[in-house]
Amino acid sequence: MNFKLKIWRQKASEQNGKFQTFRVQNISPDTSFLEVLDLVNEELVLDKKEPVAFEHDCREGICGSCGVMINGEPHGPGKGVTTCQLYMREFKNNQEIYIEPFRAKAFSVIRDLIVDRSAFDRVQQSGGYISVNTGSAPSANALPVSRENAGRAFSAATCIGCGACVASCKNASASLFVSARLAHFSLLPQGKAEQDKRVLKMVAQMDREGFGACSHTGSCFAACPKEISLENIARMNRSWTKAVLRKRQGSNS
Amino acid sequence: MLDFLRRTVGQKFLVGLTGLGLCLFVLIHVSGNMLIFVGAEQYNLYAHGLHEFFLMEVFEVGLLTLFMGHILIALSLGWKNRFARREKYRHSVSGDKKPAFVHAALVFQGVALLAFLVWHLLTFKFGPYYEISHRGQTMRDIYRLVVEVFQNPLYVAGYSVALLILSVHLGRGFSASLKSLGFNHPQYMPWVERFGWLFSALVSLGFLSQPFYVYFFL
Repeated sequence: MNFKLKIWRQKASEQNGKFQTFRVQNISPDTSFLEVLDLVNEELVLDKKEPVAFEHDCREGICGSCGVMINGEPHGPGKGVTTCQLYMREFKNNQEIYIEPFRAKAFSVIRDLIVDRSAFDRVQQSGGYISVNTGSAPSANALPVSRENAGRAFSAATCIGCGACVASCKNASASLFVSARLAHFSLLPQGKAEQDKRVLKMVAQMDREGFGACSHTGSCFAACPKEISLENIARMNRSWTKAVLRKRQGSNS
Repeated sequence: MLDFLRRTVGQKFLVGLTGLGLCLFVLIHVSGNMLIFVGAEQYNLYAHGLHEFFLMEVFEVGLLTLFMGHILIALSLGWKNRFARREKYRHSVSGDKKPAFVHAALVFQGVALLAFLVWHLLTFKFGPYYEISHRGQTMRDIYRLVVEVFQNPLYVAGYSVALLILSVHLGRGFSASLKSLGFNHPQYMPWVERFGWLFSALVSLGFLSQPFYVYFFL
């Protein structure tokens, strides 16, 4: 298969970027998308030119680092997959493919296709944890957890923090990410104790980072490689409201 | 409580709550409009009765608060959302991951409806004042004004466009308001969404029936 790749090149966050065209030929349909970028880079290195900067780590869909915008779709045309799990058979022969970084005020471009997603880390650090004593693990059955809640908490916890929700949202809202992080704690007994403080702090940090508000278009769910449920956003909204109404004067959250 | 105004989640809560209040208002409004099919006297008596009702001023202030709250908070959210992505995508979102048409330009729908609201109030509430006497009482002849206004095809066309926008805004706004308030259940939400569209269709057709009835049959 042959493709015409239009890849976004940008030297630094303050500089202007533009698309650069690359032609790749004789590509097997079973080549992964990132492998094609590797091939482009090999050529560039041989020509003593600057390779395209793109983020990748596990290449098996669990690290969340490889997200890019492919023809206007986060992680490309596949459903429930990350960019590294995308194969060239999803495209037509001789197709023109536009590759852009995820764009949001909170995600500035570091170089080419790499964006700074540390805003997610700061939201997580603001309250996305539970305070427990260290020591030996408690007995498995000491805390009863219903099967339904364990399942929902687990599916929220499958969020890999790739940022596709922000990238696809017309408002660049991080609601799906933040609500998934909240849900995987609040559905389990260990997360209940700090629930109110957690939701208030994480929502406040989400706003401070400059993400937009949720308009319930559902494009985040469509783009999410882990297909995190939109139910989590409603759960975040109601637990935030409850937390605000329960908040006492002088509390530190 | 200031958090409701400071945080996006709180602002969305307020937009949703006022939106549901406005849904109730349009339902009452359209129900009153249906009296045009009964007759001029009943239409005028209903309007007169509403204005004479001793709590009407309280309701008017409440309604103004609902409208202003909904509009101002939504505009400020729209402003924040616009700046949440400073650099636009060169190749716009497409394919299966593109949101449905009804979700596009919500704020613009709102701004268009605001313009319509001003036009609507200038036409009727602050429009020409005719008087008539029914059952020994002198009152405003709002029926005559409605019939006069909707003889003009430009008004009928303008109202049709505005009501089309209203139907989209109401249809997707009803379920979205509930989601902002924190309701979303996989079992019930599809039905809530259908109910929202049904409600919107009934309200919009009800409102539309008035100009068309006047233009074609009166």
